[in-house]
Amino acid sequence: MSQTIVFTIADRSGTEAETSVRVTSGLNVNHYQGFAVAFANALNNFIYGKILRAVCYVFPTLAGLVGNVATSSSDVEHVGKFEFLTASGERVKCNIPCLAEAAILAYDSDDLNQAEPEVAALIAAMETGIAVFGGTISPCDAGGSDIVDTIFAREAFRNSGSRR
Amino acid sequence: MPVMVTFTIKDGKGKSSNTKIRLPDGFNLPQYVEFAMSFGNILLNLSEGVITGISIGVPLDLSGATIRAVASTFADVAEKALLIARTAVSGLFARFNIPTFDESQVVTGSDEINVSLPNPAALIAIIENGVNVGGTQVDVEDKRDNDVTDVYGAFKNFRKYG
Repeated sequence: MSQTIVFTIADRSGTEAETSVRVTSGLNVNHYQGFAVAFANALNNFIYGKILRAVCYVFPTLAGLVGNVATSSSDVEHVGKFEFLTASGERVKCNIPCLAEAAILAYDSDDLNQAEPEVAALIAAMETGIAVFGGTISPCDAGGSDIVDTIFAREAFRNSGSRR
Repeated sequence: MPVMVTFTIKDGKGKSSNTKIRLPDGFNLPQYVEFAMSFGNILLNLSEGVITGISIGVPLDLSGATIRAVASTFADVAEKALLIARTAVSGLFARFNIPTFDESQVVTGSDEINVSLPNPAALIAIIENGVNVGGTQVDVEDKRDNDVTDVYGAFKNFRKYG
């Protein structure tokens, strides 16, 4: 699947809109960066707006996922709410839809069982990262500060909305 | 600006929701893909839904580009240019909608863009021929991964707004 580079453009009122360009897949970030700079130069002269940013989107194949099937009782409104603390003191929220019931601590509590292997694996991935070829990638906050602790992990339900 | 990985999860009733994770920059694309696969499997052990899509958004550095610091007073996102291009496969096309189009670039008396002007010509040249980055060719493609070959239509195309 081709990579997509999305340019965000603002007009005089600050309203933003996007234009996207699909480009050759399988290259590295430096190639897409070089393309984006050249395209931004030409785009800037073609428009009146201000180019705010460019983001390269990659859509990996899902073939590497295991057991990727929904149960009939699963519901996106039943979520696992996680909140983490970063090294800079900021908070990171992560919601997991279609929460598996086995993750819940007890039925008189809305806390998730952090000792449950599946819950523990998610927390470990968020706090200490995941090893990849050539390094370890650790999730962070919007400022790039690493997650250092889990504040809470609990069950929650979203509003289904009213039925007509 | 961190990299954003988005997992789209669908439940047994067909409704979808997203889970987003921010990652630090500085890694290459295969590393981010490897992370996404590993994290996706962790999610699947905790979720009863099905992951229907993963996207990895890597911010690009445009500091090397010459970009106006402030939008012109004439700029409006509803004033768009539409470019239509053929691709390497006959019968398949690509479309580009570009907001805040500079209207001074149309042919007088029509809504067609004057593609012989330097600015439209430069943009169309990149769409048709791609960019060579350090010896590696980066081409523009359609949604089926076919190379764009030529832009055959360029028009002013305003959208409803307000």
